[in-house]
Amino acid sequence: MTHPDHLADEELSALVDGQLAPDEIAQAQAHLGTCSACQARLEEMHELVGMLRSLPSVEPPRDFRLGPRLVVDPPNVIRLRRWYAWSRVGAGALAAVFVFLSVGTLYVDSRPGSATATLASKAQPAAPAPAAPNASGAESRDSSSAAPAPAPAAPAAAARPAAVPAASPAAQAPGIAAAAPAVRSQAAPAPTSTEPDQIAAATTVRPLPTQAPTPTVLARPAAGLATSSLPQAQADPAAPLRIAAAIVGVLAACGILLALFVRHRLQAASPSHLE
Amino acid sequence: MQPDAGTLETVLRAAQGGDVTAFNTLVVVYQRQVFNVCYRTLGSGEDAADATQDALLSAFRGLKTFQGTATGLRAWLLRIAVNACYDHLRRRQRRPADSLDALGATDSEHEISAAERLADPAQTPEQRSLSAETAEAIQTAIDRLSPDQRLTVILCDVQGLSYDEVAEAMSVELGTVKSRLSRARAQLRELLVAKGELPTSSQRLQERNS
Repeated sequence: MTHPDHLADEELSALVDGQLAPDEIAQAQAHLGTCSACQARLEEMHELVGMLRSLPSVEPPRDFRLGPRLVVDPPNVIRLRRWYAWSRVGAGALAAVFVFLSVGTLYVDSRPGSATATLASKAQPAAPAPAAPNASGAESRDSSSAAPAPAPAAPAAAARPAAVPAASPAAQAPGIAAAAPAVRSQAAPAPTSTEPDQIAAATTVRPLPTQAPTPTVLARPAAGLATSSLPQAQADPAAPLRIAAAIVGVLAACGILLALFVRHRLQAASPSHLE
Repeated sequence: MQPDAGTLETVLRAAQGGDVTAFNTLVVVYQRQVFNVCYRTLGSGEDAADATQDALLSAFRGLKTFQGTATGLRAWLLRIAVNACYDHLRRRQRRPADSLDALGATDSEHEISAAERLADPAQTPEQRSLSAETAEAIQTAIDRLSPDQRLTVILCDVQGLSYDEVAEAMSVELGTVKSRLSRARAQLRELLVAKGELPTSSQRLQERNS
């Protein structure tokens, strides 16, 4: 076998099966005519293949014809399939609502100032006292821009803590992850675009006596990040939208995880051997 | 038992349309071969029956995706059977405790097949009648091959498929079939010589020279 002229195992194997090309067969025959070792090996190969061919065919222990019960999926597979369908639809719907709410939040944020407040304060310039509660949002912002020390950081910071909870569930949901940077990047420039209106509002609302304590109210979320919703709900008309978007985003993420889990179980329950 | 090609084609089309009765006609034609491939690969009648059932169910569900004609059906079905066997082997690897049970089952299965063999006198002239011990030694040797080599040798030598059909059933190249088969046979030879089921090469040479 170590002799270079001897037939290789693969050649012998193919020769037995008649899988050699005609010229290869002629070569092999020529060698076999002179080499008794290879003749013995060929004989051995023949004998081995003969033994394997002679292995008896075993009678199957049962009939494998498909009965009506086998063709129909087993109940657990049907249940899993239903779960999969519902969880997919649910996760998709929640994701769509999440996107809708996020866009809505951005839209409200990008509108000049807290529009209702400016409108109210402009409509009633002669009566500053009743306008005060409505205008408090605009008032607090412009007062902070007017105040020298915490001025530039405050508006941006006020927008950010609310945007973060809305953005973080989106990061969990793979499909909607792209929305997260959008929320953040658009939330940041929003306060700058409101500046002209803030100035306009400032001119009308400035004489209010409550001007002094408001910066401290606003500074709290900026410093602490643990925001109490009450001052924000007043300061930020988009807050309910943000909260709703956060909840829906978390639910959508849960729905997607559920759908993936059910799909995994489904694949384990009904394996396919096609590919 | 084997219907002619035209009938088979008609039955295949009906089965592809979701007709269970038509599919069961195909099952009757091929179940023995599918079961035997699984049986020789897994070495256990129980596992083989499970794998056969899995394979045939998968085949029924996926029959719409089968593009070929009735002549290619056998290789397609055996390919599904091969995948089902790989699946069972993987599962067995994951649960080593089960393989001990499977070994126990293998022994009793062998006795059953040995009894069957005695009852079946049909032999082609090329084939020789194997003693129960020899058949068992061969199966034990086959069990020791790697899964790829095992399936190749079972499809080609035990089931008598052509190289092309084996390549199709295992979705590999023709050259791969050739080399796997040659390596599997070389290893089987070693194992069977060690068991005394085949004469050693020196014995063989002596026999020739005397």
